[in-house]
Amino acid sequence: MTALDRKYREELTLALRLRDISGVRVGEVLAEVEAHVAETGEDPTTAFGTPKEYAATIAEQLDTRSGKPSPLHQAVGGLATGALGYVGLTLLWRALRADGPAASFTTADTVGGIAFLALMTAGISLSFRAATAPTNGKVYGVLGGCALVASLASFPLSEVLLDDQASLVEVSRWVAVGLGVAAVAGSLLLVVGAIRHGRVVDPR
Amino acid sequence: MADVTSRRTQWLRGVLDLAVLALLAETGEDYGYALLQRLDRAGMPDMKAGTLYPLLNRLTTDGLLQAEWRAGEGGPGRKFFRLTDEGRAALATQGPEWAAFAKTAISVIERGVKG
Repeated sequence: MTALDRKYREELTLALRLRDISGVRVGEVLAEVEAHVAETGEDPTTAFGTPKEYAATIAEQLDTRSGKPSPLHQAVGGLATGALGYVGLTLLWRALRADGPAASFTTADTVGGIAFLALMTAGISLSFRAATAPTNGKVYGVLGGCALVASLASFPLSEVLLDDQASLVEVSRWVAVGLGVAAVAGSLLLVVGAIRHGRVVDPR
Repeated sequence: MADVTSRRTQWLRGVLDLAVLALLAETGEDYGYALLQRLDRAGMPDMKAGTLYPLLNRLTTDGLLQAEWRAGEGGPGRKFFRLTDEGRAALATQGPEWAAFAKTAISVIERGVKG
């Protein structure tokens, strides 16, 4: 029984990772190559090509099928994680700092938060569109850049332009704590899911 | 014009998925290396593991095959593939279509060769 050359294994793992193949799929591919080499005694480069070539073949198959999340899908997933964390921590912070039985949010807080998330989502989507669209890439790029800059400016602008004193929304401290904990837990679950998805697992 | 091996590789691309489905229909199930040997014996040599394994996984992703790892007896684990109902239906539909196409192609080429 021939063991797979460690150098080939490491180079193939790296080549697959660089092509953004999920950990589950990387484990599957490595197990297949190892099993084949062990049974046949063939040189892995002769049987599968160089690690870079084989990784390209795997990625090509996955690009047209499934198993590999698109960059936009990953970015939106990351944004959802960040948004849940942001909303959860804001709710918790306001609930803990509240003087009375209710946590309050001003017009500036609410509009600034919503504008930040909406503009950040639009900016990321437009930036990916700029990199992948066959035409009008520059237009998407400029629009995406403007949206990202505007998202960063949304909080300070809303504080200057809108009422940051009077309370717009008031929720019970415990409701705010409950929602905040739920949002933070959701964010952590998304992070754990992403880590699991990226972990290399031998399927045998 | 491309050499013989390169031409055969191009021909194989068009028929390999159906050939794999047909081989699995014959035996019920098999694993990658055994399928490579059977393709070779069936007159489709020069097939590389690096071509067949991604194809098997694509057919599995498409729902035409079902895959299962089994421990080898004193050797490495083996990933067995078997046809799903969808795979059997695809073979039943596309197999005769391919056979009819191949007959037409053979007829055209033979007329030219004899001509």
